[in-house]
Amino acid sequence: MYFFIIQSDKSSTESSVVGDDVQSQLISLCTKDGTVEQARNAVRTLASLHENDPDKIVEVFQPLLETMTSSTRLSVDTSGKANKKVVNVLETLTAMVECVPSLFSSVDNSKKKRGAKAIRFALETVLLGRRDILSTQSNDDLDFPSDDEVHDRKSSGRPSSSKKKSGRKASDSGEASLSLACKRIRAAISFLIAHIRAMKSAGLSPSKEHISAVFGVLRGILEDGGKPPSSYDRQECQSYEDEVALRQCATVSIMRLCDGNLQLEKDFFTHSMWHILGKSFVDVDASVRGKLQKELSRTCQLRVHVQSTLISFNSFLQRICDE
Amino acid sequence: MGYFMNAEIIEHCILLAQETFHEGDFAVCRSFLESAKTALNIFPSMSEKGFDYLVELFSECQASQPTEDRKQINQYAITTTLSGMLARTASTRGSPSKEKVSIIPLRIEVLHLLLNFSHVLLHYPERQIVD
Repeated sequence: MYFFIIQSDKSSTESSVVGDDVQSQLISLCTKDGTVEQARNAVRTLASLHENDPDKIVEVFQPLLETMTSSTRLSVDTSGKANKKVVNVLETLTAMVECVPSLFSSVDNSKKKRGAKAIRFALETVLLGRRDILSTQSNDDLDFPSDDEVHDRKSSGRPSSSKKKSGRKASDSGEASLSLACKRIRAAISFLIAHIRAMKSAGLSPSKEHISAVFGVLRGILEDGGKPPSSYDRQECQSYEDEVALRQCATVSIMRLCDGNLQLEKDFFTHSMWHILGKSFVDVDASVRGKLQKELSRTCQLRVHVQSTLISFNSFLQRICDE
Repeated sequence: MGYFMNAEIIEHCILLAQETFHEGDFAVCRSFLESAKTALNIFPSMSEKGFDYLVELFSECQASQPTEDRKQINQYAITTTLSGMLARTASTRGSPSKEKVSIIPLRIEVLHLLLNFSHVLLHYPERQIVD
């Protein structure tokens, strides 16, 4: 089947200016009332609209990053209750790091400190369970109260509105059986993987220790059969569905780091790591196997240095056969 | 042999979605948007006017205040659909020729991999696999 496009009107080639009000509506999808998918779409739209103007991108995204990395949002628990927003925050940060990696590029630059803070939160607080890691830094955030936080503070103690509840329910209904801790861990892993990929693609390399720590977490999850690395989360993630979801996430993440462009194979893909990845292809649960095969076919379709990955994987499979 | 797709039809679809949105018929609005979305997913740079209409509709959708309307907008996931369409089409806004439709051939490496993989499955020690 062939499609032919007929452009009947060529006069409207000049790009229209998307007004500030629309931009603020897109930003509010990320910070206030949007679902995960809406927030990701909003970030992509904003990044695409200004992709030819790097200064404008930073101008648009820097305040958004500051809002998303405030101490209220980057917390696992708020006043004794689990912070449900943190999943949305991590997913939005993932979209941001994919679209504007320069925001997260440096740890030392004070302007980019927020990016480093988000990375530390995802790795150390969410994944490794060091819950007090950001508590000493909460004073830094007093300079950046967002509109949403002001609203949150005003409305604290009151039950949340039904309008907000209905919006969240719509996005979460497909994964209702998963625990919040599981969703949080998956979001944190996605964020860290997106960060490593984006940094490497932009020619900026994260530290070896950081990459090694991320690999360690992924490996630990798979070796433990889908149990989270943090003892806090192990109490919550005890269902079969949670374990399957975490195994899926960890294997797909390792697969994404196999990309030959990233050049991580030499330093991080040890024989045992390949073995762990290979084992996932024969995981006891069909959904894990299916997800990994889907990711492999996606990698092939992207045609991004796929040969080296496939050759490495082929040789690994042959070695298994020989054994 | 072949089908013709007129960019104007897509623009009209978005305009009709806008009309039905104004009339509060969100189910029909969603249907028109889905039709346009299918076309724009394949050819994101097809309609430049369409992008402007989408921005307009998104703005109206976000500005919509009545509780009943918001409830239905959430129910039919109109904001999600619109934001997805904007994300898809905005990427070609700056350089319309950037996105090309490509047919990716099945590469010989993939075939090798599949052969190897079937080999592994045959030789892997007996293990209970739950399907």
